[in-house]
Amino acid sequence: MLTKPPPNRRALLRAGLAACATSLGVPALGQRAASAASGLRFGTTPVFLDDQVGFLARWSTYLSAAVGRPVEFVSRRSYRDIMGLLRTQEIEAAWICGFPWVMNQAQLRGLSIPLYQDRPLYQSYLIVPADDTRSTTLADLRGKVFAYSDPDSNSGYLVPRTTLMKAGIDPDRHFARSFYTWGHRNVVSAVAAGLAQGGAVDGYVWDTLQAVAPALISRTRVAWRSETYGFPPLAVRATLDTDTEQRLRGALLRMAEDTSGRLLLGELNLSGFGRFHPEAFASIAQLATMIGARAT
Amino acid sequence: MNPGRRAWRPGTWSYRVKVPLLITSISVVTALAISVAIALLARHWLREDLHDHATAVAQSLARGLVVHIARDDVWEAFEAVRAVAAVEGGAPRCDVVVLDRNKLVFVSSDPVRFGLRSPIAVLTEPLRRASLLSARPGNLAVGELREDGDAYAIVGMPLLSADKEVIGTLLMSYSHAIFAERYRDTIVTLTGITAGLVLLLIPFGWWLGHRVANPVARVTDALYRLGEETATRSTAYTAEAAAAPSAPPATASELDRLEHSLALLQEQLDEKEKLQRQFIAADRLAAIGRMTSGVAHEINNPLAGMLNALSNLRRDPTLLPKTVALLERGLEQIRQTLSALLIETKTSHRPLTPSDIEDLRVLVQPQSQHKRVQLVWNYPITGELAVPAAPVRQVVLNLLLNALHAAESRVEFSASTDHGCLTIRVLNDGLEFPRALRDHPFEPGVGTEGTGLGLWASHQLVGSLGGRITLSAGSGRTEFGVELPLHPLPAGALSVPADDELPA
Repeated sequence: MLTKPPPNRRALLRAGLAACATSLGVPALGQRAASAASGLRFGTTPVFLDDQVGFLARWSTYLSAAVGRPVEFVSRRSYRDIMGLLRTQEIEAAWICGFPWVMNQAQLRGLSIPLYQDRPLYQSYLIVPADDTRSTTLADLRGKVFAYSDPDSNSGYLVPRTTLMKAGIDPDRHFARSFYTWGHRNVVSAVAAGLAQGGAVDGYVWDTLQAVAPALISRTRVAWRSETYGFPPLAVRATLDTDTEQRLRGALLRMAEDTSGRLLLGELNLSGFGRFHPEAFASIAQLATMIGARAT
Repeated sequence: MNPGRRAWRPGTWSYRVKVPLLITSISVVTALAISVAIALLARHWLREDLHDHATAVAQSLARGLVVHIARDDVWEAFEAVRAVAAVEGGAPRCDVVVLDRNKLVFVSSDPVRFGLRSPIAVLTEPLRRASLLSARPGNLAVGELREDGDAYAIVGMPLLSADKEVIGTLLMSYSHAIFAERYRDTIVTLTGITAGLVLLLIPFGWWLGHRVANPVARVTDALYRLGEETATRSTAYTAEAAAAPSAPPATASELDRLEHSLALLQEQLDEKEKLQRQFIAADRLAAIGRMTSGVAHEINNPLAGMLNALSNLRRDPTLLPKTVALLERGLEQIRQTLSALLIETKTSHRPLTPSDIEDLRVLVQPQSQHKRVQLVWNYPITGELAVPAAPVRQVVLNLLLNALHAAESRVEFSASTDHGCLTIRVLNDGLEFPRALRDHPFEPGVGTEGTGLGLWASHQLVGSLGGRITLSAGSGRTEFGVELPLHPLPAGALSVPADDELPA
């Protein structure tokens, strides 16, 4: 939990005087002061391997230097938790999924779309235990136990459900039981352990785990790959000042240009961070409409 | 006794072996017994530990599971039970199954065997039995089960929501095999310690046993030698006794006091032995004394004859050749007598020869002539005999003098070798040996002739040569028999007292 250092008296006095001088400047001044004091808080979600504390510390050091402000990462269990923190302005930026992006566009500004194999695209994988050599579609898993990643995940929830719906299958009745694992890596674990006979997982995460945890990956098999979707984007809350936004975007986009940045990108298994363009998520928005999701 | 068979009879073993063996065995057996006791205790503790562990795990697991079931969070529940069931990379320590309120598997530590929504029927026997444990809601029941040769600790615990509603059941089965592994480790460690201890105890026990048994063995050895070494006077014990104080301190152990009294005994025996040797030497001279009158006569007679011949020569010088011959004979007789006597007074370690027997005849001849006793000499021996000359001469002279003293008209002497044995018999036809003394004729003081020690001294000497002396008396005859083995004892054992040992 972050604790804000108490603002010193002189700063409070100055803020008070400024409030008297111009009623418009108050919220902007107050926010800027708080941000400057506590640094830039960056929320992470299981869209990438966010449980690697050592990596996050190195990335934090790199970004702090590049942005000129301390950048700290904030991890939460679910996408929803991170979205909540953005909404309550407890964090300034976050790496979220395309699905929450399309649902919460009004409160966010797009920062960057990561480039995976030089493209801002990824797929959803249907994985099954390695000893299941027959299943090739979601339809084959009828009456089985299925693991979703997160109810707000595109690849781990929206894609498999809409795929079933397009095939005329009710996803709520198709499986004997389904559950959320609150993370793509956990979906792989659940399928590898035999807890679920199928799971929907972010293809980029599964590919990356092949290098990080080959033993775990070897116990699963990719049964089906979806079409491509916009890669989970990075976004800032709409209330963040554009100066900070620009500096953060600049830092991210220039990562591929220096050695330490490239090293970090290598660890992320990404080619770089690209410009944000909202049309990349149009297909996800269609899927969201299909399941009748409403902005939260 | 066959030494091989003797080795298998512990009763015959030396205390030097038995006591160390006993102490070592007791130490080793004690070490082993303690190890076995510890092993049994360890088994008990490990089982208790397993049950305590199962209880603690079930209780801590239950709190989280209630929340996960309420939220229908399979993944969190799975992570919780999996963390309990398996060490990372290791074999499962236990099976954990959580049933929902419909008695279907909500989650299990091994989803491959017990998949989600499986009925109780697919569970293993221990888990099925755990589900039957009658526990009050919210309380946990622990049981034990034997199945297929393996033992299990089983736990059944109804899971309660905050409002005391049963929302599921936690079942656990711990195979004792996991504690068997720990038990095996404990046993291996224990075995190592015990082996080390035994390796230490064996030499220590052996050393301690020797320390305890050595004085006993020393005393035994010394006592044994006391009985055995009558000829060679061992100083085995006197050496240590000399070092011992004149009286042991009051605090001394029984063994110390025994050693001390043994030393005293040895001293007394040595004293007695010395006395005996002095007596035997004295007796030898006494026998010579007893012969003296006869010997003197033997010298005197030729001297008288020679003086007579010399006075005849003075009157008739023509008798010179006859006189010279007579003088020669007389002097030869005197020389013979004196040489026999001289040998008798000397001690030597040479073997017995026929000439020694002849000497004895020369020495007792005057006595027999004086008493007009017929001396029958039967002596078919030629060559040396493997017995020392001096003690045999002393014994035979003694017996001959006694026989001549007692004889009426006849004394017989015979000596023969037979079966490696020299047998000497001295027989007389005189006064019968007193009946009252026949049972113990060789005690000091028997007889009135000489020092009264003659027969006793003969008995001692014959005994020291490994032989025996016997008396048979009756119907007007008394016969002493001496049997001596012709395998002489070591030279030192045959020593007879030297003249300087005579009392001053």
